[in-house]
Amino acid sequence: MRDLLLGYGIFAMYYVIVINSIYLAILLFSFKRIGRIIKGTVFSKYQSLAGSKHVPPISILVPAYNEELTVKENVRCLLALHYPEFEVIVVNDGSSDETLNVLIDEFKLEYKKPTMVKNTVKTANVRGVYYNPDFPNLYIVDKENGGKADSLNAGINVSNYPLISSIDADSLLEKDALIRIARKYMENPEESVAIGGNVRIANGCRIENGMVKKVNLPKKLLPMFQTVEYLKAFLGGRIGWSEINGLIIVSGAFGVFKKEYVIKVGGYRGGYPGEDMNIIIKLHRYMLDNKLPYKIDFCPDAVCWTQAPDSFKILGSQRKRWGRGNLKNMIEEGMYMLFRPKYKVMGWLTVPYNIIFETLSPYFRITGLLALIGYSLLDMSGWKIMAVFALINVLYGSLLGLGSLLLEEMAFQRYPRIRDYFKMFFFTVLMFFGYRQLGILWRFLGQIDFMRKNNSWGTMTRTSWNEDENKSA
Amino acid sequence: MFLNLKVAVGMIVFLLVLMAIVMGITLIIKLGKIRKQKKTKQCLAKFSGYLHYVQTEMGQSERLKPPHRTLSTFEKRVLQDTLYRWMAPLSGAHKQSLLDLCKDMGLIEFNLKRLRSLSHYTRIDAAYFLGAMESEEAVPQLFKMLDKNPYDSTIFIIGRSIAQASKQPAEVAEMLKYLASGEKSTFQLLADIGYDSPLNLKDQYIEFISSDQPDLVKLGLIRLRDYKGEDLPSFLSSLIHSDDKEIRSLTTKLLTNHMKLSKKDVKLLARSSDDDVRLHIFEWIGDTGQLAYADLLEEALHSSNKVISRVCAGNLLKLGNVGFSILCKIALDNESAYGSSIALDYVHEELDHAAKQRELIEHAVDSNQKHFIYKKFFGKDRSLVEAI
Repeated sequence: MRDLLLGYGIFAMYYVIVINSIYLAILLFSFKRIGRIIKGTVFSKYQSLAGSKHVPPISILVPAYNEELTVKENVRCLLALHYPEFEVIVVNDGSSDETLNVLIDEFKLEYKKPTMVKNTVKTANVRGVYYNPDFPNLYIVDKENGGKADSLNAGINVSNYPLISSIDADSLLEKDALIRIARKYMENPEESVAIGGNVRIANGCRIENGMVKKVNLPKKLLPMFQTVEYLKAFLGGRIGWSEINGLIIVSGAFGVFKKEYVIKVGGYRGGYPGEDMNIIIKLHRYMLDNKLPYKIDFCPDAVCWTQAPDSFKILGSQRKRWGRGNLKNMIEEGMYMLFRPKYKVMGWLTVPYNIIFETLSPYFRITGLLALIGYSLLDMSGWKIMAVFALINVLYGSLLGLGSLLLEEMAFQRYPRIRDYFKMFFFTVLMFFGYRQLGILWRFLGQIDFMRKNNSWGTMTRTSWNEDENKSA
Repeated sequence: MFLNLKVAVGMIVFLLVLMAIVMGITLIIKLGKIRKQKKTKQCLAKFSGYLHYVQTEMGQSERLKPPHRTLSTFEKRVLQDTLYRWMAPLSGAHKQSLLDLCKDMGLIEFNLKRLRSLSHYTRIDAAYFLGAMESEEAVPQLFKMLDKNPYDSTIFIIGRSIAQASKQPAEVAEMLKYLASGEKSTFQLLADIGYDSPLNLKDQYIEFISSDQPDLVKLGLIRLRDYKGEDLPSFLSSLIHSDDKEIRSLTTKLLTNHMKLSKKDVKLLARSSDDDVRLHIFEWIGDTGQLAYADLLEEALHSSNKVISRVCAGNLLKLGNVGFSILCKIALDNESAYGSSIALDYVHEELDHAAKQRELIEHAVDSNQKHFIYKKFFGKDRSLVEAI
């Protein structure tokens, strides 16, 4: 029994080492690409491009549910984007708070019958569209509650342009974020079906008029963990995955899509969280099924700032949702692509990696941990082996985190102070002592919720921008 | 057993060493950047007097004098960055004096040397600045670089530099042809790159539209829109029947832009199977006030495509009282339920808008006329109609 427990515990640790090794390979792909990213970022003429009439127009879709605290600032921020031709379509998803009225008052909007709403994708009933000719590129769609995916679909039905961009109402785009993505799109418009932006944590930053004026690291523990976690996922992970066209997700917080293909795959899937991952898997599938050349790309210099949950309750809800969404997507789409040669990188690498090392990860890790605890209770003679394995995992994970920090330093340098670097390094290591385990537990609980068909959204509380900075000040 | 402890400890040491190396590299980059920033500040402070002189004297007839002393490589780069920042938004005499100054300071030779660097980054950086300095002598080298460069985002940076630097339309055309040969449908980006050339490229764009390369045809069609009022080749109209949807759409835009469409063409395009083409034609009818084609808008307003219906209604309004009367007529006709309801919505919206503008004398007549037309069709005022 003792040997069995130890054996299983060590298997679980090997499992983590394999995850880290795959992640290291992806990180190396990120390093391979970073030189090109730097050159493209430094030498592309964004200012003149922002005034060019040849940049494709974009419809920005902003689903909003109970966003009264932040929505006004976010819409103002979007309207001030440096982009030649765009429209902002805010979709009020039956908010129970004052989201709609805040927008009506702020922009002096008038009610219009929803005759401009096309029936391209099915959605919940649209009650009306609000518009003011003084803000000719702003539309507010008021509809019955149907969820985020349903709101995005309603936005598609109102949109007038061939490219759509999904943006969370609690996120702030940098002024040139859209033009940076457009530059990438224009270099390969035929094949680009989706391009994701880089999401960074805004907690702790100084924000004025819907813009991040000064970048600071968060003062609070949880947002700080998420800052290093996002850096690792976006720079270390997504640059690499996009290099091999194996990106499985474009963050719902900020991404640009070719509308034509989003419609062809039936729009966003409602009913469950994880619609951002779902749409990308569907796009991969559609393009590969139809043997169309395509690219799902990532543009790390196009930055969107988002509010990170700063309490265990909200973070837990978010991570449980992610767990639920991931499981649903793997059952619904992933299983269909698993190990099928026609799905290329997706079928052979991305989906297997996701199923084995993301979806099933809580089971292996939790049972592995329990086996080791059981083993320790029976006999502690093998503690050295356990400690060595644990240390290898912590160091390996930290090395990957450090790799992402190096990518950040090489290409972006948003945190120029040396003490910021050490703070990020400290949290990169610290996250292996509790935070990661908590994340795995939340993911597991999310999957339990999925099996129990509990599909509630969970706790969602918005705070107004700058609250984190004000409090710490 | 499951593992050899010695190997595991070796692994730990290996990971620790790797971590130290990664950290070391990161800190070296960080410190290097901080040092560079400091040095740049000091350099700018050292040249503040000189830069002030450049700012006050640029644009004058007299050529700006370069700094007296020989510049170090670092100083050249700092001054180059500063001059580039100033130059980018300028044009005319001010820009020319800065361009001359860059030449006199030896920045062109400096970058020509850097074009031969082993580092790709340095070569791209040099190409970028040579383009900005409109250095004609760099063009042959830039072409060589273009030829050797992989087809990735940096190729467009080199292409842009050639567009800025070349004084020969044929060279710019050659560069555009080369970039278009990637067959990535980058014609919009190429059109933007073409703007960076100060040369008249009309003949080259005309040559492009007879090419068998679709991207070049599209590029030509886009860019010829900027040569308004000038003659277009007679074969252009045939492109509205092209197999390529985008070519059909771009040709329509070019022809409407130059007002070169016959009545027959307009009718044909208004009934085209391409929604893009139809929408563009309807917009054009409204924007240019082509009353003669109001019947086409009336016809298309009954379309099952909601977008087309709405665009037609909106453009009928742009045709003034004639269009407004047609909308009233459609609203009453009830020929197609959706078309009539759209027309009625637009009629009411226009009346609301006119009522709001009534206080302004110049709009009062227009508002009264619209109310008069409304009564003529509906026999009563709006509130009564709504009540019914």
